Parts: sequence; structure tokens; C-alpha cells
Amino acid sequence: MLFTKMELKSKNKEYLKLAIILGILFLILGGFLLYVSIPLLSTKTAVLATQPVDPFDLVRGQYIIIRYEIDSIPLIEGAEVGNNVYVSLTEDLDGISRYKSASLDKPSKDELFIRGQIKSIYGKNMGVEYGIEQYFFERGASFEANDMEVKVKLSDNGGARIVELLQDGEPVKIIYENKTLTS
Amino acid sequence: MARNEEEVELKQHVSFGAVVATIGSILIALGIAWLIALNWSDIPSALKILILVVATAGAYTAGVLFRTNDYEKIGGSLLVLGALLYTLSIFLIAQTFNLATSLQANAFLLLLAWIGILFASYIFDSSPSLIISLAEFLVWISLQYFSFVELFRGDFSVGILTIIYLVVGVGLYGLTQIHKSQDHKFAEVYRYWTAFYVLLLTYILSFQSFLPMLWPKGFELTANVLVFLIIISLVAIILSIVGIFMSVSKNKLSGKEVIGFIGVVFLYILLISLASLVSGESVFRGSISGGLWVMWLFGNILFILVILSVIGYGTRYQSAKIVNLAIMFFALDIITRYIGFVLDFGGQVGFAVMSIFGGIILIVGGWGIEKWRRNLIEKTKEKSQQDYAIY
Repeated sequence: MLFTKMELKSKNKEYLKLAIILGILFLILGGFLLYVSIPLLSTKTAVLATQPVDPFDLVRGQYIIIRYEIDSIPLIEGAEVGNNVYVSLTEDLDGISRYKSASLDKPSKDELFIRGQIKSIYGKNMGVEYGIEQYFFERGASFEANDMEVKVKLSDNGGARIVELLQDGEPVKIIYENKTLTS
Repeated sequence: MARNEEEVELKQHVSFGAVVATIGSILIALGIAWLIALNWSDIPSALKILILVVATAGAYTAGVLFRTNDYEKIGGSLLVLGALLYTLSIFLIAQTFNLATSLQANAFLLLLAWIGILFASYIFDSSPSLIISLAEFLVWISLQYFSFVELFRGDFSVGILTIIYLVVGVGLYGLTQIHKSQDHKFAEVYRYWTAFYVLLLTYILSFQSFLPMLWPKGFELTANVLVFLIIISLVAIILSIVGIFMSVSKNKLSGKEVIGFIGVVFLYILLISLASLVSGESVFRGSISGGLWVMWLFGNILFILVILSVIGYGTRYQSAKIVNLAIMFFALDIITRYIGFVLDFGGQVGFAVMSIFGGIILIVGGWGIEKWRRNLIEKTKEKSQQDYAIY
């Protein structure tokens, strides 16, 4: 099939547009991927104590909501809902990282700390979320969610990502359903 | 004449094929969304992301190949598939990294999605892609407001939501004018969405039970919502001023339309503001105040006026889609008001009697609406043919 010069030029223009838009979309996706992976590249880890419940997200699937021991911490003076808060952690004898202190200012890099956002203030306490309150897993799968701990990685500025769920120091055993076309 | 008919027939077939292909694209995206929700542990997360990213690139590439081989509409459907797969890729990454499920987190994901698709729409000059972007924008802007309320434990105010929709409507009107002045085909898409926002806003304002909720008692505007409102308002005002200026300078917009547009915006602001007078009032039968009745009547008269104006607007710009949209909202209004009357005045026997009479009225009304709709579309077509005859 013979193409005229005009047709070829127009086709090349379309392919150029394709390359540009794929470049832009991959840049956004890549940037997003990098942004969410930063804490995982860190060497700092902490194991946090939990109290979980499980719902379902229409787009993202089944997940458990994890409530952490450090979700409720003593109120800091001058703290307001929406503020970022840095919670310093200290490891106990069982290797669980627990609340040590909290500050509105970022602690030094040597300290083990996690960054959260103040969601509520009640009495002398405040409710804090760390962005690691959910763990997605295969639909229909099940596991014992009691007495669970969560291993997280922490970036230099306190951002956290879940690495795995633990029970007595071992990864949680998830029981999967056999999938068929009719399941 | 025969050739003309053949062309029309061919165009209809092409359009039917595009509709089928678009439904196919949406079905594929739905299937993939469901697969993501199943979250199979057998497939490593990295591979899942890679598959979706490659599928996105594949859909866009196939779309371009179809477009360059004279299958413009089918190519457009594949670009829609690409846009949906790109959106799903973002949600899959969020799932893989166990990102928050809060409204703010989902709003952020949608922001990344609609901006990317908007770029694609302009680069490919693709109206279907722009429609996906605008649909995601609607969900994003609503979620963003809800997330501010959730995050800062502020009062939820329907009034702020209606102001946001009004501001977006003004911005979209500006974009319509900018594109119209450039004879760009996106003008039609923006015009449709302007009409959609205006109708949606009026529909919300037509509910008696919503009016006292517009400004709840003791409502305080949080700083974040205020900043958000200021930013989107500034963008909308700049877009509308630039758009109107561009269209008027090219003689593509009459002074009458500009005055009409400003008048409608003014009426909305008046209604939304006046609703503060009935703040927190009871909406239960027997305890509704005269003020609330007057306000509700004003809202409903405005709704009917807006529907008629949108029909006139659609007829003026020969857009059957806009006429259909206005008729759809009219039908929605009739059904909503009917249900409202049944709830307000009906006991059990009353409900039965009103259901039967109401049903008959709706069937006759439905027939009337359909006839009216066909007449309007026929007139729109006739006008369009007359315009072509001039050339």
C-alpha cells in the first residue's frame, strides 16, 4: 500500500503524539510509584502493636483496617487537627516499638520515629493516623487477625509503609480459596 | 440526495460501531477493575502493575493505529480504554502499597488520574477521552470537599457543595467560550458539561429537605475549604472572563447570552445565600415555615426556568445531547416531586391512590415528554439542515 507524503507525515505526527502522552502518563505513574516506595527503600523498621477490623473497598478489594496502639497518644501543646505529628518510638523487650514521645517538630535522624496526622483531639489525648491503617489481601482469603503486629519501614522523614503482618514474630499465615472461573 | 442519504447511513453505522466499541472498552475496564479487587496473591504485585501499565500503553497504541487507519471512532474508544486502564493503574499501585482508603487519599488518586487523561485528551484531540477526564474531575472535586469536611471535622454544608458546582459550571462555560472562539471541537463537550453542572446544581437546590441544610446552624467555614474555594473561584472567573472576551471579539457570542449567563449565576448566588434564612428549620409535615415554602418554590421555578433555558441553549447550538440532558432532568424532577408529594401527604390509602393516579400521570407525562423531545430534536435537525443549505 502506497502512502502519500501527507498521509505519512500525519501518521508520524500521531505516533509522536503517542510517544509524548505515554511519556507523560508513565512519568506520572513512575513518579507516584517512586513517591510511595520511598519508605520501603529505608533500612529503618519498626514492629507496631494493633487492633484490626475488616471491610471491603469497591475498587481496591478486601482489606483490614488496622488500629495501632499509637493511634491515641497524649496531646501536645499547641497541636491542632490536621497538623503533622512525629511520634518517637522505643523498642520493648519483645521487639515491639511503642510510644516514647511526640512532637510537632521533626526529631533527629538517629531517632526511630513515625510521621502521622492529627485527626481528632479529645480530652488530654489526640487521635493520629499514619497512612498505614489498611492492608489489602486476596478476596475470600482469611487469617487470624488477633494479637497481630505490623512490620513497617520508615523513611528519613517518618513516612511509613507496611512490609508484613506478624503474629508472635512470624509472618501471618493467610489461607487462600481455590480460584475457579465460577468462584 | 441519494448520496446524502448514503452518507448519513454510513455515518450512523460508524457511530453505532463506536458506541459498541466504547461499551466494549468500558466492559474490559470493569473486568480488569474486578480482577484488581480480587487481588490474586498468585501474581506478584510488581507483575500486576507491569501488566496494567503495558495494557494501558497497548490500548493507547492500538487507539492511535486505528485512528491513523481511518477508524477514527473505534480508535477513540480504545483511547477511552487506555484512559480507564491508566486510572486503574493508579488504584492498583495504591492497593499494592496499602495506601490509605480515606477520602483525601482517593481524591489524590483521582487528581493524578484526571490530570493525566486531560493531557491525553488534548494531545490526541479526543473528545471521548475528555469526557472521561471531566467525569473523573466531577468525582474528584466532590470527594475533595467531602475529605476536607472529614479531615478537619468541619460541618458538612450542602451550600458549599452547590457553590463548588456553580464555580465549576462558570469555569466550564469559560472553557466552552475559549474553545468556541478557536472553532475547537471540545467546545461541544464543555458546553454539555456546563449544562450538566447547572442542571445538577439546580436539582440539588430543588429539594425542600436540603434547603435548611445548605447552611447548618452554627456552621463555620474552615480555612482549608475557604482556600480551596478561593483557588477554584479565581481559576473559574479568569477562564470565564478570558473565554467571553475571546468569543465576543470573534463575534461568536452575543451580548444577550453573556447577560443571560451572568443573570443565571446571580440567581443561583441569591438562592444559595437566601437559604441561610431557613437554616436548620424543620422539614417535617405540618411544621414547615412559610419562608421555607417560598424558598422551595423559588428553587423549583428556577429549576424549570433553567431546564427551559438549557433546552433553548441546546436548540440554539443544535445539540440534541444537551436537549436530551435537559429533558432527562425534567423527568427526574417530575419523579422526585411526585415521590416528595406522596411522602408529604400520603397515608396508606392515600399512597395507593396517589400511586395509581401518579402512575397514570407519569405514563401520560412520559409519552408527552417523549413527543416533546422528538419534536425538539426534529426542529434542531431542520435548523441544522437550513444552516447547511445557506452554504
